[in-house]
This record gives sequence, C-alpha cells and structure tokens, in this order.
Amino acid sequence: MSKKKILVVEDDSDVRLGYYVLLTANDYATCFAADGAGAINEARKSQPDLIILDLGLPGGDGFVVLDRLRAMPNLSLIPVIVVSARDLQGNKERALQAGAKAFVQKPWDDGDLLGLIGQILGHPAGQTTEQDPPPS
Amino acid sequence: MTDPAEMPGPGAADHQARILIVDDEPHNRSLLEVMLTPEGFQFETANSGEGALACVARQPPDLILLDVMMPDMDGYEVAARLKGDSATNHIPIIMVTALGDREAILRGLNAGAEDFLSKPVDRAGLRVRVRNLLRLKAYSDYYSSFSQTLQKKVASRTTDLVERTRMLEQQAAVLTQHAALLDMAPNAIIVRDLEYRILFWNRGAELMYGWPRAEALGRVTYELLKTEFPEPIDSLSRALLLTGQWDGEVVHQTRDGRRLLVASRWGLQIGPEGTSSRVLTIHHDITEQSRADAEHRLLSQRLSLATAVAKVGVWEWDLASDGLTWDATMFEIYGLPPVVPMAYDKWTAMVVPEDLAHVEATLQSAIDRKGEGSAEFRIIRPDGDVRNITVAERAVLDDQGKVSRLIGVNMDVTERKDAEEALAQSRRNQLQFKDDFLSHVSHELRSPLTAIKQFTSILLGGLAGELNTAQREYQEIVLKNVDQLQSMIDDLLEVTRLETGKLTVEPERVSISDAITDTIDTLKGPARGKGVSLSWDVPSDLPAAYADRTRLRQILIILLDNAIKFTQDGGSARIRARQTDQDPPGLVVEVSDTGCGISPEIAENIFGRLYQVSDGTQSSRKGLGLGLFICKELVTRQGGEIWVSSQLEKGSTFSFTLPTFSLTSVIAPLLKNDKWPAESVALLTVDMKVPSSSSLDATREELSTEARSVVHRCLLPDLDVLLPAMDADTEGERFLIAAFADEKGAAGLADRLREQFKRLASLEERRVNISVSFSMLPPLPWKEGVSTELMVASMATHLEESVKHQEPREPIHHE
Repeated sequence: MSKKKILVVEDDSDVRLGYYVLLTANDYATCFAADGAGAINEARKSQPDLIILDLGLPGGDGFVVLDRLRAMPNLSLIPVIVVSARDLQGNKERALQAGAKAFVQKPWDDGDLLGLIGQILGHPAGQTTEQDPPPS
Repeated sequence: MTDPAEMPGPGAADHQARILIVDDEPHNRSLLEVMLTPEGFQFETANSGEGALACVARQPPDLILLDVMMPDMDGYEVAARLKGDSATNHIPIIMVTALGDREAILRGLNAGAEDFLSKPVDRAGLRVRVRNLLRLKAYSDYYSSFSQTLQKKVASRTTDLVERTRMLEQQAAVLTQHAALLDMAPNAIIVRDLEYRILFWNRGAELMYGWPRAEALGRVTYELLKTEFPEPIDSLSRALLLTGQWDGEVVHQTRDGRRLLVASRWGLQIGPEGTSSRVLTIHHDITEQSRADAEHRLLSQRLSLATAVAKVGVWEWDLASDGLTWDATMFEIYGLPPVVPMAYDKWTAMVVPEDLAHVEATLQSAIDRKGEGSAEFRIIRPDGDVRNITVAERAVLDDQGKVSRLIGVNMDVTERKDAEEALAQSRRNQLQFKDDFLSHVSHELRSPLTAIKQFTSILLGGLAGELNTAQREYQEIVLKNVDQLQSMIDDLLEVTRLETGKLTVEPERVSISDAITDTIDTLKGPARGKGVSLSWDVPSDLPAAYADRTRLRQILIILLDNAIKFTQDGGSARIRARQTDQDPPGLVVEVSDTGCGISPEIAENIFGRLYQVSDGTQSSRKGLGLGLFICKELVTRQGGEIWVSSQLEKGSTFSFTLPTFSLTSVIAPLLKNDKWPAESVALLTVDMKVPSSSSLDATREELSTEARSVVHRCLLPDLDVLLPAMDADTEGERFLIAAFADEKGAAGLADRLREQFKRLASLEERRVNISVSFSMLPPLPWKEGVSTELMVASMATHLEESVKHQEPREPIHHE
C-alpha cells in the first residue's frame, strides 16, 4: 500500500519544515503549497489523500481556498483539516459548515494532530488500512 | 347859621361821610342826591333792598336813606336786617315815607330806624337830620372802638396768660412721660427746634450715635452727626413746614466716626398757638439691613446673569391654576417667542411622547414627597429641532404645609450630550483599537509559537535523533514554557473578547456534577505531578444549573488550576457544590485548597484585571493575572457572584453562585406587556440520532453544535424558544422547541427545520438521522388578569408537563 499523501498549505516556511519532519517521520508522503493558488494547483496535480489548510494565507483567505476545493468535482471529496491561529469561536463552525473535517488551533499538540490525521485517513469508507499508532 | 358839619368831633373831619341812598325810583334817588350834594358827601345808591344789603356788606356807609316802599324787600325789612346784625347796627338809618303815614313812621322806628322823612322831602329838614345823625354816629363810633380795643386787650392778655401756664404744665407732664417712654425705644429719638438745635435726645440716640444726652442737647443736629442729606437742607425744611413731615434715608456719623445709613422720619409738632417750633425725629439704623439688601440684590442679579449665561431656564408651576411661569431663557430653550402665555398642557405637548410619562412621574413624586426631583427628557421645538433637556424641581409649600407650586430649572444639554456621545464614541474607538491591536498581536504570536512547539516536539519525539537525558530535560522546559505562553495568549484573547462583547454566554440546562468530574479529569495529571490530591462532593439531588456549559467548565478549570498551583506537595484541593438557602434557590460551587492562603488586602483585589500573585513554585513568574478576572466576568455574565475566603498558610476557598435552571427563566422573556405572543403553543421535537458506529466524540459534539445552529436559524425570535435539554443523552440529541403558533404555523416551522437539515451534507455523510414532529399543547390554563409571574410560572409548568409526556426517545431510521 502506497503511503498516504498529505498536502500542507502553509505560508510560514519554518512551520512547513516542521510539518515535513513530523509527517515524514510518521510515514506520510507530503507535498506543500504556500498560498491559495498554489494550493489548488498542487491539489489538482498531486491528488492528496488529505489537505492541511492554514486559514491565514497570503493572497486570499483560507476559506476561499476551501470553497474552491469543495467546488471541484475531483477535489471535493478530499478531507480537509483547517488549521489557524484564529479564534475557535466562529471560525470552527464556519470551517465545518464549509466542509472541513476538523478545525485545529495553532499551536497544536503534535500528538493530537497525528491522532486526528490517523482517524480521518483510517476511517473513510472503503479504506481498510490500519494506521500505526503515532510514536509517543 | 353854623354848619354842623364843621363842628369838631371825632372822625368827622377825617373823611367825607358816605351816604347810601336806597330807592327803587331813580328820580327819587337823584332828587335826594341833588339836595345833599352841597354838604360834600359821598353817595352810593341802591335800587332795591338786596342791593342795599350788598352795598352795606361791601363797604358800610356812614348813613342810609332808606325808602320804605320798594318791591320784593321793603325798607322795614332792610332796616330790621341791618339793625339785627352787630356789624351794621351802628349805621344810622333815615326812613323815607309817604307824607302823614303814621303807621309807616311807627313801623320804621320799630324796625330800628333812627329817624324818618316824609315825601316830598324838605331840603332843609333832610340836611339837618343827616348832619345830626352823622355827628352822633361819629361820636358813637369813636367811643365804641376805643372801649372795644381796651376791653379786648385786657381779656386777651388774661386768657393768654392762663392758657400759657396750663399748656406749659401739661406739656411738661407729657414730655416727662414721653421722655421716659422714648428712652425705652431702640431707635434714636431726637426733638429739635426749627433751627436744628437739639432739645431732646433719648437713650436710643445715645447708644446709636455714642453722644451722651448732656453733650448732645443744644447742639445742631447736622453738625453733631455730620449728616449727609439726600437733597439740600433748605428744600427739606421747606417740605417739612409745608407738609408737616419728611422721611428718607440720611447718612449719620457716630461719635467714633462710623458712618451709619439711617432711615429718618421727621414730624412737625404744632405748638399751642398754632405755631410750629419743634420737630420730632426718629432714626433707625439700616446699615446692616441695607447691606443685606444690597447683597440680596447683587445675588439675585448674579443668579439671573448666571442662569442666562448658563442657559438655565427657570420655571414655576402653579398647581391650582396649572399655569406655568417661564423666564426668558425658558422660552429661548423651547424656541418660543417670549410672549406666549404658558400652561402645563402647552408644555406637555412639546415633550417627546415617550419621555413624557417618565418626566411627569418625577414631577408627581416631588409633589408627593414634598421634596425634589430631576429627570432628563427630550422636547420637539416648533422648528422641529429635538433637544435634550434636564429638569430639576422642588416643591413649594403653602401656609398649610400643602404643595402649592413646583419651582425648577430646565437646561438644554443637547450639546453636552452630543459631546458626551462623541467622547464615548472616541473612547469606544480607542478601546476598539486596543482590542483589535491585542487581538492582532495575540494571533500573530501564535504563528512563531507554533513553529517553536513543533520543533520542540520533533526533538522530544526523537525525530531528529535520540536526545540524552539533559537535552530531553531542557527541551521539556522549553515545551512547558511554550505551553505557558500559549495559555497567556489565550487569556489575553479571552479578555479582549470579554471587553468587546464578543464573548457570548449561552445558558442552558447544565449538570454541575458532570462539569465538576470533567474538570477533575482534565487536571488530574498536573495535580498528580505536584502531589496534590483532588476530591469532589456533589449531592445527588442537586438541581441542574442554568449556565453556559463551556464557560462553566472554563471557570472550574481556572479555579482548580489555581488551587493546585498554590498548594504544596501533600496538600489537597476539593470542589463542592450545594444549593443555597435563598429564594429562589441558587447553586453555590466552592473550590478550596490547603495552600498558602491569601492575605485580606490581596483578597480584596484579587478579581481585578491584571492582578498578579506570584505563584508559590515559580516566584519570579507572575503570569498575566487574568484568570480570576475572566472567572469573575464569566460568573457575573451568567447571573452569579464570586468571592474568596482565605486564611494565610491554611488555604483558600473560592466560591461562586449560579442560577438554578428553571423553565421560567427561559420563557419569561417571551411575555411582553403581560401577553404571550400567541394564543396557542406547539411543542416541536427534533431528534437527532447518531449511528453508534461513529465513535468520534469530537465529531458528535460538532454534529450537535451544527444541529443546534440549524435549529437556531429556523426559530423566530420572540415567538419560538428552544427549550434546554431535560436530560443528558449519549445516544444523540433531542431539541425541544416551544413555538407560539397555531397548528399551521407549527407545521410551517417543522417543514422549515426538515428542509434545513436536509441541506446539511455532513449529517447525511455521517448517516445521522433527524426527525421533526410537533404537537399542539392543550389550551392555556389561565384567565385574564393574572400576574406576570403567575403567567410565566404556569406556562412553565404547562410546558414541563407536556415535555414529560413526550414520547420516549426511540431510534429513528427514516425521514
């Protein structure tokens, strides 16, 4: 079974590197985008299994990216975890209503994030692959 | 023949004798005149009795030749009148009668005539008679006047002497008496003569002017007292002599040189001979009074100036007549010409209608309490301008102690209000900026913090190679501090939300024991790490609270976290909850510890913003000091109170109250003006059933939130109300809605709910079942005219009963 691929949309290069180290170490394939336009292109090109989307992006609000993803037939079913430094209140509800699977507030706990990714990628219909528990 | 007229005699030579000839016939008068002309007499004539009398009155003649036969008044009557009057009885009268008429002669003599002549008059006889009589009269006149003068002189001398003595005695007595009385008078009483020399000086004058009587008597008043008269002294004296009195204000100087303003009253005293010789003067010192008067005038001038400048209108309302008296500023404030007569009704017509009841109530209460009152209201001026007015009034009592009038002021505070509004707006803007700034900074801080936390976790997770013990320990310190920083940022954002009103509290039915166990679960780890034991105690029959679930948990976590933080190894922290004795009963939750305690002065301020207490373990680290402030705000916003009791070195107990849940608190806001929004009430039930295969708790919670927001979207404010969950359920969620609507309206709401839920993709995706149903409640069980409280309470009972009889929840697999 090929590795699950995760698209990380994040404008902060340090944080991108952090994702890379964490996700790679946990046996995920990764691809990256630093803005909204890049996110759509990368998603089309890579067809990831999961998208981690930061709301605060240069050149466009994360919600706009989310809406565009949901509107594209071949991308609309890719689960999205929305990540943001913004407040939980209001934004979480809005993200879920826009079709995100989860809302994670920055800074997150790596263990929690890995658990969430595992749950989402481990359970979709038709997928039977068991994910290894994340290293503690 | 010697002319008898040349005989010496008193007065005869002195003047030409005047003879009055009285006859109605001009011819006879001329005849007599002609006959006597050579004798050198003066003649007067009269052609009637009346004419004769008038002539005598004008200038008494020396002799009268009087015709008897005259129309209207005959000679007898004229003679009788003249002889009957002492002023004229000495004038000799010669009656002229018809010849040989004896009766006429006798009547004439009886009437007092001295002699008579018969017509036709004999010239010689006439002359002799006239001459004799004239001579006689001259002597008589002489003697008579001489003796009269003598007599008069003696008599008057005597009377004068007697009278004078008597008067003097009387006067002396009266004066003595008066002097005694006058001495008792507090005023200065001075008697002076017309030359202003002092004749009398009372005790009051001594006291007032400082001059003893002995020194004052005989002095000239205006010299002694250095009087300053309001007009020249001559004109004062003239006025006094003319009218007998004078009063006015003068300035006197006392012996020691003080100037007194004196009210003076002078009265001319009339002496016994009818002459005036003395003046009684009374003086009253009005220096103080006039100063007070002047001050009063000045004050009232200042006041009216102040009210005019400050645009303070003064009014007076006469309750009996409903008349309003306004000063000029009032008219200015109301934009009316100052000639309009005001009445209470005219005023009320200008007040903005919705403000009228309030301002009238304060007026009435000032009347009822016989006190004062004030209010703020708006008026609409004739030009349509709306102004803000403040009024302050005070009741004025009449003799019987009843309120007869209100007096008060109006002030136009529109500009001030506008300025206040502008100030408040700028303050709001500043606060907004501060909050925006804080919010922005806090959010931006989260990004680098994310990277720090990320890489610390990576290092600790060994993703970059295994760490040695020291490296691991140091990285854990980094991580701990990152967590602290993170919670500070969270607190900061929370406070920002509190202050901008973005923090919302959504109270619902909450189980206290669930919230407490949840909190203890969350903080078990840190407590164990510090060696602090946790316990809790909640009575099993404790009623549910009416609170925001998330916020309650937040409060408990802050308090318990503090308790752990300030308690040493081996100590304990405990959460208890109980019902209060109040009516209606509330709930009180206590978080106590066996920690270091709080000194009273700190306890007083501990809930203030940015109040910092160094925590026991890391004395250099203070934190932001926002936790308890947030707690207090959250408790207050849920209708509770929070306080602390503490003993140093023994421990502290933080307590807060929450309202008990009751349906009444949920439905009370729907009752407006003692009326429910509709006659009938429907109870809608929305059941959400989440398949058990989905085991994600987080997802379930999200679904509940989502479903709740759908329900909220469909409800009409003021008509529908979402009832709180009556019991906890792990299977799914049930929403109960009380809708003030008829059957058609309720069906419409049910349809709308179904429609909205269908659109929710996430529900379908997770195979969540939603069912919506409704039933109409039986007619409301109360009558008209019951109290608001009773209506709410009985409606609550009504709903509660209906909810209890709802069908038990069952899995639903269709829609």
